Amino acid sequence: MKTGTNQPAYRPGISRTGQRSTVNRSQRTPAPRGAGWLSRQYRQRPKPLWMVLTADLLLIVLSLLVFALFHHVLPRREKSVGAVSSREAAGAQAVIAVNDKDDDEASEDDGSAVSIDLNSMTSDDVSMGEDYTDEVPAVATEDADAAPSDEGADDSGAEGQDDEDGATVASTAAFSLTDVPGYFGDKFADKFTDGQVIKSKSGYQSENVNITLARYSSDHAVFYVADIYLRDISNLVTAFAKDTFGQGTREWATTICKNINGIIAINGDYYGGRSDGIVIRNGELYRSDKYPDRDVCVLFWDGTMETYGTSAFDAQAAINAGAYQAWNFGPRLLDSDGKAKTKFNSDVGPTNPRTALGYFEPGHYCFVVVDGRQEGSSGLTLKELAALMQELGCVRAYNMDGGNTSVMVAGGTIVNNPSGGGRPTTDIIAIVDN
Amino acid sequence: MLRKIVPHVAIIISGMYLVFFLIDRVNSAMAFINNNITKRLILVLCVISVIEAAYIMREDRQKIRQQEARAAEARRRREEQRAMRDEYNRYIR
Repeated sequence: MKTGTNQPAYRPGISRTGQRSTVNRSQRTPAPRGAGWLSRQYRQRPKPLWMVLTADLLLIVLSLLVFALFHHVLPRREKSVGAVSSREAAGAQAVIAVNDKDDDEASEDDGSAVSIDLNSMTSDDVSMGEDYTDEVPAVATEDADAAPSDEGADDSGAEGQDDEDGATVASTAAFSLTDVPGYFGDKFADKFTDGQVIKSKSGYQSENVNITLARYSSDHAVFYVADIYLRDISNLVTAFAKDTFGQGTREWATTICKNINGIIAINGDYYGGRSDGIVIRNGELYRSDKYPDRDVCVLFWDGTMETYGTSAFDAQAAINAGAYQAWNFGPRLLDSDGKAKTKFNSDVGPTNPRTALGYFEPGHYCFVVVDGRQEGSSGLTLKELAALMQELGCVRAYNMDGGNTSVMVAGGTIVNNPSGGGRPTTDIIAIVDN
Repeated sequence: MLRKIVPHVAIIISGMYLVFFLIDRVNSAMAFINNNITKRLILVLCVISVIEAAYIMREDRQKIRQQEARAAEARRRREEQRAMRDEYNRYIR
């Protein structure tokens, strides 16, 4: 610094000529020529750390919302694989072996069993819908006279009666259907009517379908059991929301059921919430990628139902063997001997609302829906659900999507009390009277 | 500018995955981890991580070079000063 000069003292912001500096005092380095506003911002003094972290957190939340939009909300159509199974191939279903060793990879559990005693539970009144009353419609005399005790394959007298009462005898097969896979009219002949439809408060009976609905209450769960007999396997159908296969397409179960004229329905495996998982519906293979570590349930054209573990599952082979429906949610609840399992390939073991499909024998099935997450009914654990299915007499049972999705629709209305008011689902399993 | 954005993107994607892991523990049926969107996010996170690592390595190497340059400059100045001192001492004598 020079001494003895008449240079003015240094004052920040004031140039030697006395003019105030226009340079931004916070700038450490001059911006290069042509730099934009954003570049200049990054060359300024760094923002406080709390501001940076808050901005990042807000961006994380925003990104999660965008993800949810694409993952859950926006529907995406998918293309079906297109392979179709045939009823005639159903006899070959034995080619798909069940691997019980998959249980070794089940979630951690102490393996202790629980028991369910239906006799100790309260059986409550339940109504299948407003149209359903206990008044049994009068039976027409023609129908009474024609009430057959030897219907079914015996068509020796059918042709004569056809002329007088075609409506009644028309239900009697003009030819034998006994050997047709998936036809159970002969086996359960006493379950069906001769043409009239009987809608009682707790049931539905027609010439094709017999449904009995019951409501049970235990100390911590309320559940609904629909006992179902079918004349033909085609009376059990599945349906997609908005009749569209794809992710993100959801619709209320009541609407889906109404669109297909379903009598009773439960939610399916919510296939639309994932991009993989085997989907076979009404004989068509839509998706063949197995959902990893999840059991598979297959209903064949001949009416048999089988559940498979987490090992590799060939969907095309299932189609070739006559698979009619297949779900990939799980877990399966009963082992190969029909006994309730105590370890499951699932992480949702705790108490929850549940939906399950049960199988007794070809043509005889049951829908089970358990209310949960509410006062009076907290739900069932998987162990308890498995014990319940065994207690009902099922030999195979499969858990469907539960939680808020668990719903049973009958007579156009929701029969149970879904958790959180329920929610739209991507698919249902329904009984139709064709 | 990319150097400033990359760490924030890594934080955001990592934060999203932490949330996915927590939700997946509660309800794995919703497939928050195993779906096409999160698979692509993992890919982006891997690319971001590689870019960030490259930036860090470059900056480390630049720092080392700068330190070496400064040390060399200091050594040179010390030698110059020593040379000047020696010459001055010789001149005085």
